[in-house]
Amino acid sequence: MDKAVINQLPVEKLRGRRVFVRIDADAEPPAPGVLFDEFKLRSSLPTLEYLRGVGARAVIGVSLGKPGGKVVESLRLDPVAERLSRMLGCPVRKLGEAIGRGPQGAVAGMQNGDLLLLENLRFHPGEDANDADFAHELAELCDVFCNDAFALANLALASTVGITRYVRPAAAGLALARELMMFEAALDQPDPPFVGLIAGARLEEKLPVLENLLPRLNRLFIGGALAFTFLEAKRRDIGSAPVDKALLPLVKDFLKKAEKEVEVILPEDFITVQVDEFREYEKSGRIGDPPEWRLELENGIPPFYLPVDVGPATVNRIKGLFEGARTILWNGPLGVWEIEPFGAATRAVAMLIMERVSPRHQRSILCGDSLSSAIRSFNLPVELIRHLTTGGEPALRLLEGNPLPAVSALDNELDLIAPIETRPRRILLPVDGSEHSLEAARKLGRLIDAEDAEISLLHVQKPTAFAVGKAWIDPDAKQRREILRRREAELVFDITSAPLAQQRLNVRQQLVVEGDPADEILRLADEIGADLIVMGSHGRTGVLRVLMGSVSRKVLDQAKCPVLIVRIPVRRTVGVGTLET
Amino acid sequence: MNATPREPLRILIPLSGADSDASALHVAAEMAPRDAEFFLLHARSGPDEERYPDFKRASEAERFECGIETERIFARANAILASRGLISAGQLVAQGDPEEIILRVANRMAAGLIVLAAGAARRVIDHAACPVLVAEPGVAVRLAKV
Repeated sequence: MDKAVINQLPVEKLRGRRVFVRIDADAEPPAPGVLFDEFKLRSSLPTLEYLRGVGARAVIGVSLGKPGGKVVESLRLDPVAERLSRMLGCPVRKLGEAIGRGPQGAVAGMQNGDLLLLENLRFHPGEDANDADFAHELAELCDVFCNDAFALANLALASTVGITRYVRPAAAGLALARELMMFEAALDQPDPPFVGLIAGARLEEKLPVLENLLPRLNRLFIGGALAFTFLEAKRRDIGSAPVDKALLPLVKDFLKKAEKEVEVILPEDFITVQVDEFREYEKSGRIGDPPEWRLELENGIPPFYLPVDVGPATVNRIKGLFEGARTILWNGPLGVWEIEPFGAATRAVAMLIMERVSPRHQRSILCGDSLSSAIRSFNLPVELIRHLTTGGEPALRLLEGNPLPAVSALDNELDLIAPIETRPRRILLPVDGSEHSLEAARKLGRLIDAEDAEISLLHVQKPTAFAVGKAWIDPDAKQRREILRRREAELVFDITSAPLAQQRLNVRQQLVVEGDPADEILRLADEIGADLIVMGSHGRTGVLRVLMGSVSRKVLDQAKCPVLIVRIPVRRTVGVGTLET
Repeated sequence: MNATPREPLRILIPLSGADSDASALHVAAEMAPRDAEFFLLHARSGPDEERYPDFKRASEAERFECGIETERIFARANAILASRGLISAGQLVAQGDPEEIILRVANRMAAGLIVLAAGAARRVIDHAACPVLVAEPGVAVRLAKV
């Protein structure tokens, strides 16, 4: 990403400085007695925590609801301040205004690490209008600007775009940066196979997305209400499903073009309801039991029947599409998820994506406000999804290939970053020629970023009192013993160096000493200023478990740097079974 | 056929909520290969959710409070990773005996490396099926840029 991120600024540019952080709360305030839906608020916690940690003075700007440019009592931000303060575990002072003398005075009195929340920015008409005066007033409150509101990035607001004319540096917050990186990874260099699941409604908005994604995708599924027009274009009997007649020619063109590049997969079966019963149910405000449903194939939906979800065969097809996929992009729900039984397919596919956390997968991006609400309403562990976006509209803009105004307004990375001085990392690798220490050497490059590191190999030999005594009598024996020792050490170094060389790792020195292994390892680690000690250690061997060796244990207890313990995998355990013995 | 790309190393970082979390996070961030993925795990002590599913449903309010505590722990962890230009790939929460949960989750997600603070979770160091990187106490102060 070419935009500057807040953590790239040197810390001294943040400590003691006033940082305006724009974050987003959810659109609607909580109804009385209902827990605050804090999905967006939560996404900005790392940024706030980071600013607090570096001793910045964070002035937080939030908008809530649609007060229409005037003060609306029920949209005051006191509940937001309370939530933030509880989630961060520190006080968040909330002001009664966003601009003017009050906030200026309060900001002047801030200490390092303090957090201050301005009143709802949308109480001022200037916020949505991107008014220069309002932006200037906000700019008066800060030295650094940080935008962490991805969900608003498609808009040009005074607090996201206007303000950047008056405040520099202007950097992305951590949540915004994360969102941008996720989309960048999918759009610029998707790891193939790249599977697209484009569903939901609003065909006119999704067509440009489909056009833009087409050359990147390897597999494409079109579902939700979108699919109806595509099925119509293929002359299927889809009952009373709504079709966008005006866009039908465009859809036909798209299909013709798409089918040269990827297989376009449409739903194979649908859950359908009688259209009158469904309208009646909608009119009643969805009270009571939802209408009776039946399963139909895509090409046989009777008239007066309306598809409300895709069926099990389609879910199975999607499961097949996910096979081996390394990038998945999913936009829009597959059915009318708001009515419980008709969210089944959306839920099932969400679970497929979550299961992909293990054993192996790359990246999944789920976007769209409606899909996001659906997924969260299912009460699934959403943390397992990489990545559930907080902003539907900005995501669509990115997927169409368009820039986001609030992102364009930020500084470029190159303008800000100070070079960081580093010395090569020093790694101490004690070796004894055993399988354990070889395993450590073999795995080192995989486990640690050791590319430029300087590795010191250490071979500790045990002094033997007997040999010492004998050497005193017989100088020849001493010499012979020396030769033997040196040979042993050379052998050990040779067999250890081979796997290191294979990984193109750089061995700086090979040392042989006599003494207690743990003591010598600790002493040398100190001497060379090791950043890491790598120890091969005994693994678990079946029922007779040999726990970590005494040398490793002692090193671990006394080392002044991190210690990496590598074992030989005795057997690859799958599942939980073996752990519970 | 193209060579299959190397799978990213999955690093599991168990978080207890104590200050020592910072050591593990800094060391993980410092040492990890560039393509590594960081999974945060907060293992809450309490009846094991999987062994005793009936205990799982604490009251809504209790779960909410736990949730806040967990969010705070994750937020701090993410801020530390972020201070080194990294992001976490996933956040997991489970309740039970922390050491057992760490081993269970590491196995299940096929973790390539576990990063722990010294003194924490001896059993994990002894029984983990994958390598374990142990951060010495005080390392956070040495490595932290903030």
